[in-house]
Amino acid sequence: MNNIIRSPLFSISVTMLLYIISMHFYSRKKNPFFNPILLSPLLLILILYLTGLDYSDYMKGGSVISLFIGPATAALALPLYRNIRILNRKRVIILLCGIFAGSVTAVVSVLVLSKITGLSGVLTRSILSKSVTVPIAVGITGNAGGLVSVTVAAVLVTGITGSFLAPFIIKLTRVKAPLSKGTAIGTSAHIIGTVKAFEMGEKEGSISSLSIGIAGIFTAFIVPAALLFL
Amino acid sequence: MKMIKSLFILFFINIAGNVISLFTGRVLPGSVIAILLLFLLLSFRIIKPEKIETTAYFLVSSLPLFLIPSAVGIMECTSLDIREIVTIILIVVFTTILTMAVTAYVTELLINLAGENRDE
Repeated sequence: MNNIIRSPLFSISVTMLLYIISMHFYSRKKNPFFNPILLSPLLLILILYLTGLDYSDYMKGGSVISLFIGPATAALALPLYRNIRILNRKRVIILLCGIFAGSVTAVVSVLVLSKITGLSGVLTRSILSKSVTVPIAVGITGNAGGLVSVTVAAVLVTGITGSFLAPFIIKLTRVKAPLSKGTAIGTSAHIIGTVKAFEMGEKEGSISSLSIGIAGIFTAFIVPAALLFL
Repeated sequence: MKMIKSLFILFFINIAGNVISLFTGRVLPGSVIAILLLFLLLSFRIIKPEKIETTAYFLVSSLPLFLIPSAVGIMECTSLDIREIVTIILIVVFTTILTMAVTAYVTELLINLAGENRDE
């Protein structure tokens, strides 16, 4: 029995099952706290505690699942390629500039606040990429020498914060264009915020999804530069 | 066979991204180079979107599943103390608000400067 629980097949199956269960809750409630990428790991950690399985045992199967992050991230190019063709050239340039400004703001403000609060170097490296979508953030943190799991947690807190506060911030900034709202939400709160952007409108939502990938690519360039000041 | 072929293409692009990342001093992560590579291959019509779309959308929509094991890794970070956790959360919340506001302002400003229609 012990061998079965410790086999990769078991941990892969449990992960898939928890994903299916949390997806079920999430599609009904649409509450960011039920997001499968938040709920499933929490349930999994609970299960690992209860069964006495080590993280290293779990990762024999877990690493097989993680293997697909790479190809799936590469595949993000396809929706990016499709969505960007809808906009005219002038709008693409505006969008790129807006996202670039936002991505620089995100990285620099994290760097400055980390310095002020005296956060350790390794933790700062872990949260510099926290505004972008998890698969890209994980890659950036890996290169920067941070802790990947801290990145995942920080990215999730970012998304949930952005999702809750987006309506208020958009109202406070008094921006009117769907393009502005979409870039703002996608750049600052990736996919979790994008769900909120779609509630504001179809245009806001599709611009927001487009911004996620672009912000990720920009941030991959900005973080190595920011590391020079760490 | 179509699924295997498109899966192979995406795996191969991922490997190519990692190789390029390795030989360029690991400035950009391999996954980001892979996105740029595939984007270029699609733009130059070297890979037709229809060829990979079923598998690509399947993988993209399953991304949350693939990311679960990395998130479980947080249980290994027992060295974090409560002060560090609170600091990180405060930094994350504040910078998210700032980033959203700056992006919104800059984009709206550029739309107005360019004389673009705001409603579209």
